[in-house]
Amino acid sequence: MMPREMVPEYWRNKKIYLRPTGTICKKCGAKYFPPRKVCIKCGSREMEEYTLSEKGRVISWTVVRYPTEEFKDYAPYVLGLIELDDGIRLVAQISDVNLEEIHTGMRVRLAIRRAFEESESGIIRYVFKFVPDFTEK
Amino acid sequence: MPVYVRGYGFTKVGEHWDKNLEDLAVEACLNASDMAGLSPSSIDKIYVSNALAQILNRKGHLGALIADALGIIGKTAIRIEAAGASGGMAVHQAFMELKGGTAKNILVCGVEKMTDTLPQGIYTARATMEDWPYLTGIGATFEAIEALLLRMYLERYDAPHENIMNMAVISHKNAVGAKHAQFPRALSIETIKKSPYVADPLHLFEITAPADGAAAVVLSSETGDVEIVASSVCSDKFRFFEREDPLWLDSVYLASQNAYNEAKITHTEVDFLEISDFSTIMGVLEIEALGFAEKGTGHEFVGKGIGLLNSEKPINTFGGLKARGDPIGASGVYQIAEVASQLLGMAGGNQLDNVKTGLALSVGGIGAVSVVHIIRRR
Repeated sequence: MMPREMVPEYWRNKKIYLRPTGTICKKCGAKYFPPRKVCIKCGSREMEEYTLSEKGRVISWTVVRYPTEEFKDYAPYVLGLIELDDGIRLVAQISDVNLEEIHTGMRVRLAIRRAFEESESGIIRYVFKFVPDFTEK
Repeated sequence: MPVYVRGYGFTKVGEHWDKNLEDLAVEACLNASDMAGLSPSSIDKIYVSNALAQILNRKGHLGALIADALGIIGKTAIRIEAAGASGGMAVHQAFMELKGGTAKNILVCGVEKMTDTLPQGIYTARATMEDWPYLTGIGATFEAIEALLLRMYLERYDAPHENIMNMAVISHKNAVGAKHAQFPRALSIETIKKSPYVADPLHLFEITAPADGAAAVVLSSETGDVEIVASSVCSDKFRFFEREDPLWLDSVYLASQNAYNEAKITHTEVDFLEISDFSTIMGVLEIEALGFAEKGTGHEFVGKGIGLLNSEKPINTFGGLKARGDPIGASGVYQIAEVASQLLGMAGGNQLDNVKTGLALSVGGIGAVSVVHIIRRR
């Protein structure tokens, strides 16, 4: 996939990338990330925007050593499966962390960081990542 | 209408520098149609399964392309794509048509040509089998997702990683002597541990290698010595992180339960399995979801060597995806051919004794869709 072809997709999702946003079903209250048009629990189409928790914990993590072309200049990097305090799960990179300190259960908080540069003349993509949260025990 | 496997054929899996995608497909299809005793031109329809040719080979429209190469002109020619389940899905579609009586003889050809592409291009292509905006586009490769599942499994069940690595050891040992296998040789736990991490804690030798290959089957409602008695496809939530339990492959569970019901059997009556072990952890999760081990105990099952050819439940009797090789869109068709060859007593040095019923599981993505076939000797 040529990165430049993905610029419109980035533009459409930019709000979500800069502040993770999902949807909540007005009928049954089910929360989703990424956003959905239709509630897959009750079938309702009445969905509202829902802003995700900024904090959560790592429930699994890995170090990506063989990345796709877009991320070739950034490997190795840490990737986590994160469960936010509102119960929503997502996958995100974990920054500002060294491999000795990362562990399952580690508290993390949202941060906006560079994802990758598409080329010398292309756009710089920013995306949600998570960093260790030292503000609480 | 009953559905029989009337003939099958395949190429060796590996690096075919001298053959392109069409060459591989034609070789497999001619072998299959010869065994079936039919000329390609007398075939009613052709289904071609492939996962990545548009990205890896810049080739699309494979239904008509392969039909033309075989001289199948003026007939129905369809290409099927469902990531790693492409092969199983194409067989399922042919099965449904034969059941419905809209054709009598259908050629199903799975083909993938991967080794012209450098590894980074393959990682990029494989990642298209998952969600771009919220996985690939934020840095998650396909292998990284498998690594997240592996760590979760190891920590939740306090499972020794060596048990899970044994999935690859079993597949490799079963591949010894398989003429069409990519890696017909044993692999030790020590060698796996020495291989680099592809994404910690998943080692490079716990996943499949890029491969070229094609497999074909002629399915028929007219004649054949083995019968496909069940064919079921089920999907799951596309993104693994949205599933209630990411360590439970519901698509595998549902498709297999449907298939057992359709075949009027329980899983205990299945003599041997061909599963989609594109990584060690996926193989273990599949064994659990198929019902052969309780949730959280699949690692003990493979850890004690169940799956070897001489064990109570042989798994991947020619090496599976790991050792026979994983030309992605072709793998599900290889499985059907391999199950048929066991049931016909034509498996050579890999032949199992007294087997009547085999199961093939073809998995797309991290189980976003799964296809189960149950095949029986008549």
